[in-house]
Amino acid sequence: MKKHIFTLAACLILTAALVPAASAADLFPDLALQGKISPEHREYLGAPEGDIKISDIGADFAFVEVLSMYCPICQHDAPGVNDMFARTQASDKADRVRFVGIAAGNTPFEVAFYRKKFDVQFPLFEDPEYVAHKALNNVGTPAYYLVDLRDGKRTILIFHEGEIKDKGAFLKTVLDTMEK
Amino acid sequence: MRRTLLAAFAACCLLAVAAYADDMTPYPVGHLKPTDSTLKVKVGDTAPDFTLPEINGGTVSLSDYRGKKNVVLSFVPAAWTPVCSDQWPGYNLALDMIHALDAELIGISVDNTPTQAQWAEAMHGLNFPVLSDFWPHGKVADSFGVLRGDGMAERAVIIIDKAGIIRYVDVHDINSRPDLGVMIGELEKLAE
Repeated sequence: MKKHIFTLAACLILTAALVPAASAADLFPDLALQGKISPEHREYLGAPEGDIKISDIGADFAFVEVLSMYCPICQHDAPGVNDMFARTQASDKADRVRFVGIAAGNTPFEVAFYRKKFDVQFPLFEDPEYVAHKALNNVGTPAYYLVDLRDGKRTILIFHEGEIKDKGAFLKTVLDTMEK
Repeated sequence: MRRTLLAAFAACCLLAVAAYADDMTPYPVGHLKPTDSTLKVKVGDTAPDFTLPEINGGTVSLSDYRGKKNVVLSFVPAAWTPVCSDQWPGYNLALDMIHALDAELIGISVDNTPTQAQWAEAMHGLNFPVLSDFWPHGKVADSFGVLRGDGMAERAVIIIDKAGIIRYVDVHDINSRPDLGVMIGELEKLAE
């Protein structure tokens, strides 16, 4: 019996490690967002005082970027992501979506450095022990999600892993998806 | 059964690290013994000098920086491996901060120069000297006591001041990345 339990445990561990990253229609885990954020960012998220989870975000949608300060593509994409944020803020969807960054494997120092280096205006959260990253099946970075928060299920509407070659087209898809 | 569990654990470790350029596929090495060497230097010692080839041509000597700049030596185990491919791009991003603290970052691995050059290119370029400790194999790493029994270097950060004195040593768990903030904090102490 003990042998079977060990076998089952090993299979579960392997399965968890090999499960592909989330895709559209999957549910986004209700991640705890770690790290201090400014009062302005807390207001932006519409989140209550104290610890914040994805489900606490007070908007219809969350646009989540999983990044790392150490990831060359994330570094390369950072200005473009900032531009997507600015264009969203200037659009008629500004009140419906909140941008969030989760920095896989990054310490508070590394997150602060990345924020300052690229002048990131939306909230970035740290994930030094890869807790959130593991909950997302060790997705490659950068990864981008549009999550529907309206139904309480956190349904993933859009998932993209790796560099976004055409950010304008991608943002249009994101904004159009919110219309549906 | 134990082997099955170890294999499962190793698979988890391999997949726990992400964040490298999407046009490269690092070679998985699994979970390694955290450290596997005996230091031959300590804080307060004069750093052993060396001269090594650099990927852009020519050579770099530690003594080139004597009296001019502090030096951060970043030894990494091997090119094209997951954590190493994740570490130097971050340091590259932070070069302005390192230079502002009157320091130069020098990367060293035991790989040969062509391998290092292709690897650096796959990481979208590195703007600090990348030196090859390939031949005599690992001689410089060994002079610091950071050459592992398997021929790779440890993942080590060694900070040397302008006088050539070792001021900080971190032989890090080879499976994880040293916190950039710790390195910067040590450089700030030198700047005080």
